[in-house]
Amino acid sequence: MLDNMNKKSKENNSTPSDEELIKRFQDGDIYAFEQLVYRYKDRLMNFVYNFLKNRVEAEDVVQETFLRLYRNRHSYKKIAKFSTWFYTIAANLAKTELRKRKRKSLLSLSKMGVEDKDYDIPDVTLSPEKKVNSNIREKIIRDKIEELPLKFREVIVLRDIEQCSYEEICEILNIPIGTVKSRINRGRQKLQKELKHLIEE
Amino acid sequence: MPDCYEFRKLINKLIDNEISFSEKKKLREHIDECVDCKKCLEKSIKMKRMLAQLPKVKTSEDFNILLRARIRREAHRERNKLFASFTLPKRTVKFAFGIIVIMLFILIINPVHLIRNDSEKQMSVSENNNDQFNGRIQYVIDKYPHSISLSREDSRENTIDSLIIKNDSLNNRRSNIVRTHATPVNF
Repeated sequence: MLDNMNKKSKENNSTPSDEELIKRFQDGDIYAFEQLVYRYKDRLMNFVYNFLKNRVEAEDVVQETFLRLYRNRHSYKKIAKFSTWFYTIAANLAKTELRKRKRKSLLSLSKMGVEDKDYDIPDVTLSPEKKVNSNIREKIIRDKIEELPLKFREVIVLRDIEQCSYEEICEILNIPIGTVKSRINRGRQKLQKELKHLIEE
Repeated sequence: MPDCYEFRKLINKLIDNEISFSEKKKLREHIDECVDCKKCLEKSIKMKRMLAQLPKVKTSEDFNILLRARIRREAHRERNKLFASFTLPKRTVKFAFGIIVIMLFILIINPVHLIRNDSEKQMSVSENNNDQFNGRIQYVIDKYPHSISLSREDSRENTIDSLIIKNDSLNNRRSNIVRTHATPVNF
């Protein structure tokens, strides 16, 4: 699938925009869909992972997002930016997954810590000692983000990790821009308190 | 301190590149005087950098294969849905089946009427047949008068009990004549 897509993209030197691709996909071009998968799979994975902090669940949500895109391709209208529309689907699915998890944890007697043992990103630039330290730091940061209330977590993830603009965030989360700004302020203050020792190192 | 609260907002704007030129100037002037806000700005920048530098999580190698399989299943389902739209709705099929059952039921519980009809039909048919056969026998007798002999009793009662055909050439017509058994014939 991806090989075909790469060949096709090499043929066309000018890269089509996401909106052009979705239009082509709506007209029945499956290669356009494959190109969208190639563009968005890792971006969405990173985004969803910051919500769920579990690789398997995050990947499942990303797969489901693409499946929704395939199924509801005709419900996309050109008035919205494709990335915003697509992130909204992913965010909603991730939140549903979180709700499910909450229900499960309420039902289970003992709360078992779900840790992602397989999470490992090779970083050749760092020495082993520094690599261990950076992994620990990263784990702490991710844990602290996860501990934030959902309304702060979603804006922090979208703004500081995904680098979305305020307008994009308010479209994705369907909240007013004033609320976005105040949540970012309060979320950052909370996170700064939690990460105080790391920041002051 | 209420002033500082406003400047904290400006700090967020600054690190998000959403600050205006006049606001930036105002913030710079304040930071030169306020140590707390300066520290806050430094921390905010550091945290922002930390979050931006978090390693990106990537999908696994199996991702494409799994997605392709799911998409294929979905496409197959869509095709089936399209096919289903061309077939009759279930309700119509049930309705037709119901009507057939009701008609069968009526046929079963009301056979007298049908039998009467049938017997009337049969009678009319047999009358027609009699006329036909009588005509045929008359034809045979006219053509071959020497080849047919009737028994005495039969001739007395003016009915045909047995019709004996001597001529071999008439063998193939025998069946028709035998069917006229016990019907009155006028010679």
